[in-house]
Amino acid sequence: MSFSRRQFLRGTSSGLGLLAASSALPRWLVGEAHAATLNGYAGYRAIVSVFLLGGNDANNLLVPLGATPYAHYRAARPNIGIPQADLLPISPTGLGTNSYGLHPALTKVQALFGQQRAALVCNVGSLVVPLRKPDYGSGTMPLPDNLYSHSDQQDAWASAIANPSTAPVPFELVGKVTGWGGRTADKLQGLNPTRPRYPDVVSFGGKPLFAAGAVRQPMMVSSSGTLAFRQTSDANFNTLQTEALTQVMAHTHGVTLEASYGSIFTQAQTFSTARAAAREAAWAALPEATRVAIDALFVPPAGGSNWTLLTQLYQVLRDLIAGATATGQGGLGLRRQAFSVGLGGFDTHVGQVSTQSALLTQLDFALDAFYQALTVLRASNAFGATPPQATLFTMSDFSRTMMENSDRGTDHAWGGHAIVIGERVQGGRFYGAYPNLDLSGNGVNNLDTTDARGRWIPTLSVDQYAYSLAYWLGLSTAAEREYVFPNLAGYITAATAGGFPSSARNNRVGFMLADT
Amino acid sequence: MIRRLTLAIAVCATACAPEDSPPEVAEAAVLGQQEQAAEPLGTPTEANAIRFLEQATFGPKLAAGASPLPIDTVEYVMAQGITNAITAQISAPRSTYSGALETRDIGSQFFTNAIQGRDQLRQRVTFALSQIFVVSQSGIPNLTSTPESESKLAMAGYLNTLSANAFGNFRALLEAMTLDPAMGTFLDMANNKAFKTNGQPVAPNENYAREMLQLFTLGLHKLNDDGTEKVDAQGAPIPTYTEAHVQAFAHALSGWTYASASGCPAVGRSNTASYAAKMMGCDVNHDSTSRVLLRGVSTTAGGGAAAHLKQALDNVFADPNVPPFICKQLIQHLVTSNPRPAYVRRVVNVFKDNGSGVRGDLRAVVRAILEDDDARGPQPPLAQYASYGHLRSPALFVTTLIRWLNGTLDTVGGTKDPGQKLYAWSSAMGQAVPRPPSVFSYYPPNAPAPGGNGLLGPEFAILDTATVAARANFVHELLYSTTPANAGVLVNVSALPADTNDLVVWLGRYWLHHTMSSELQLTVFNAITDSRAGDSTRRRKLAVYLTSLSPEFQVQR
Repeated sequence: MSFSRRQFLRGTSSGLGLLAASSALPRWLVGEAHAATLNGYAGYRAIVSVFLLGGNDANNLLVPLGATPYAHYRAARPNIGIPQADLLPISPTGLGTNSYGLHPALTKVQALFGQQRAALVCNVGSLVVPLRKPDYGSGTMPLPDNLYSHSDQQDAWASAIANPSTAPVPFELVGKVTGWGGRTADKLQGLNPTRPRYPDVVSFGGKPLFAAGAVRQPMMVSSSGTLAFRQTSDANFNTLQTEALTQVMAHTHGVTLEASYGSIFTQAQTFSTARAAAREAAWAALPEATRVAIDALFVPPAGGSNWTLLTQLYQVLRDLIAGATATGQGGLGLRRQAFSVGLGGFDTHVGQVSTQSALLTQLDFALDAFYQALTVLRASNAFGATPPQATLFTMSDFSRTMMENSDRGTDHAWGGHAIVIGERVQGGRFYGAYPNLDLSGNGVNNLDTTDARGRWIPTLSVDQYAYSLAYWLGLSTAAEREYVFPNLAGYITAATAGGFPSSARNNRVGFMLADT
Repeated sequence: MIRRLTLAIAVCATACAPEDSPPEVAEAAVLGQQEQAAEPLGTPTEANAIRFLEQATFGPKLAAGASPLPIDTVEYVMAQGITNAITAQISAPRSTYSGALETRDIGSQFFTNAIQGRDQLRQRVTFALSQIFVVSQSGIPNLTSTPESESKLAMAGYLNTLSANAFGNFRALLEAMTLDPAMGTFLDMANNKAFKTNGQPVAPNENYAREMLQLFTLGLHKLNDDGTEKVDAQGAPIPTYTEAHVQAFAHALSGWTYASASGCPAVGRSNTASYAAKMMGCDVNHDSTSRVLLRGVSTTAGGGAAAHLKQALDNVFADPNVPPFICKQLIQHLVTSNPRPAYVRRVVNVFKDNGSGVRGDLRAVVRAILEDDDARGPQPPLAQYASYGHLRSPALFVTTLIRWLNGTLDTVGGTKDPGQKLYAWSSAMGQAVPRPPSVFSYYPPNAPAPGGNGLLGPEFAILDTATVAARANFVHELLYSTTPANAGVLVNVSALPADTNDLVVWLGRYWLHHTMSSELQLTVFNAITDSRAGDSTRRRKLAVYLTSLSPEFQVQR
């Protein structure tokens, strides 16, 4: 059942009649059905979204080393292009030895790529349907809403709905603004124990929309990792105050906005204590050597004392351990979770080189620390035969123009390259097609760019990228997929009808190892 | 009467079931009926006066014996009436900001003005406008080569310009914002050149043109005069402008740069950032060709930077989307997140014509918003029982609580920075004034209320488990910690009634303007009469903690 969001908006604008109707929906329509399975892994699994806020310049993340494409790269970037000798060579499967180079800051990602635990997903971006160059600007094909706008394109990545003004969405999503992490949780919540109904998505940063479901609401925690209510030194008084406050939150007597506030407050009150207790107990249950080894991984190098991403990922790890630890050991006993973290500052219109380099240095260190910590956890044997698994993946508003601007920076563009890291990643490879960087003759003969400045038309959609991760987490049936990724079926149909390459015709991108 | 009610509840606390929830019944009963008119503007009841001050100030205050009555007190509004109270507010001396190096951070100054300033309504409207014409201090770089703080100078100038125009004409405000150097830096209007240094034309930066259309004047979609969206035959929203319009405005607005004693730069060159004066137009960097603006209107071929700027801004100002787009947002900031279309239309009509044939008179618009029947009366209109109100934004929650507690800021001697403490609290709740994360401000006007079945709740975009806990922790720290007093934030809890009954009645009478639910009264009363509550000071603090965090206080109605 589909219902156009624009029809819905028209409904609200003319009164509250439709709202009254939707509030009377039968319970079964409001997302309680569960077909999700543990999908190949009986242990704990998490996906961790790393949002690079502001639009990371992927053209300096990953550079071709071949003479011709590198010459195209430098032609477009005479000032901010990275010298060929400084790039960190990698040899993606099937594309030749040292055929591409990573940004010089990404030494640890380079190593993980060599160990086949890191993959690069090329030219992925927001799309409603697959597009060729003539389709862009023809006015006949649906484009993402407000391309090149930060907020809209962040939302497109976080929601996996590139055209919220016109997308047909499942009826249970009408009137709700949700992200694909939250919607995945709507469908996977049945894999987690019902008591307590702990939030499946925990966000320490990034884009809050990612974490919002239609049914399941996330736990949002400050980037310091702390979610707690101040108390006095009098335990009896604290108990009284907490109990009374709980009662107060239920007094919303039919006022909608009061109920909205009360439900968020109750969520915080209910789970902050459980979370804090589980984090402490689960951490304490680990062997001391394991704790010491993990903590050592998160000690920043010189100059990194104010790195926020490292702090956030450490807090994710502590929550992950709490989630994966059995209730008998004081943990939460969860099976599936999603996390969100974020790093800002990527909007490099001016003086890009030093800014991006500093940010990528931080990213490289933090991603690796988290990956290595999971390795330590596996080696500790604390979780027996089914240790926790986690996959890190990057998202960003958009990539940036291939052609540098007059301020030694770059401007808003579209498709870019993403990083996926984890022990279940089929790494050492590229997924999708690396774009043609040739902008000679104003790029008119380059089918990959919308214009003369090098804005790549994505060849993989955010929806395909995201579904590959959600599928690994446990999303399986077509109905679940259509709920979480409402544009995907139409995208595949259009790709098939339009004779697009096979990568555009598959629901998933194959960067996750199959479960046996 | 209220006291007796509370006593009755207290007596039946253990024996009686709470009252049935009335809303559905009440709403059903009034649907389609003629509504009662709000009270006469000249003689507001106490509840109406308190509601007015919640909408028009940074929090109501009681006179507490002050004579003459301060204009932002409940007693003054009751004595003078709504109309006169607005007039007094408009005439109050304007609070200003200083960018001098030795002054406090602009965020600290903002909260100090909000607590102490007499021009409460002007500041409140300025705050609302600052969330439409957005500049973030985070987006103004400091030049390390100069001693002064450019970001501070820029923000002080921007906020002063905004407040000077808050009761002026929208057209003048639009021009003042367009030429404000802080805005020039934030959205690249400054040094936006149509030519390279070799004289070749270059596409000017579209940043300001786009945001001016999308966020400052028109919005994305065409609106009816009642604020609802127009739709085409297929039911789709209708865009207000195209990419071609954005480019046309970028060209029409090209050529402006920072003021400089040495005048305009050479072609393709820039002036360095300076924030003491508005920007200047330089024809040498302006594209003088004719461009097609909104509704088919063209700029004059051969026009200079100043002439084209006037044509461009006149063109936007005349657009029919401006009144509903701006008026609905002002209503959302001051009164309610989901105003009835008829309320929006009444205010829009005043925007279009203030009664003297003038379009864009903000003073008249603000008065129309606050004097409207949908804003006045002792409680929200019954037909809007379920949908009325807005979540107090973090800044307003902080200031309202401080002002209700007759709070003062100890700035004597300059050793303490209480404004910074208020800023830090608001920041922890997601509103670091004046440092919104982007040109989209702290929260968007069209954010839905979670679980609200499509009702808007803009402030909810920054309410989550982390920031809601920060709300509770703010109140807790204010009441139970010595840190605020050490920082110079002084509140007087001991002035609240000592008697438990009187205390609940007092909080209901003032903080919830006589609308405190019987359930909340009962919960607070039971808590503060519990033996664990402790002495009278702790009872007062507990009552304040519970009431201020209650849903019915958090949602200003």
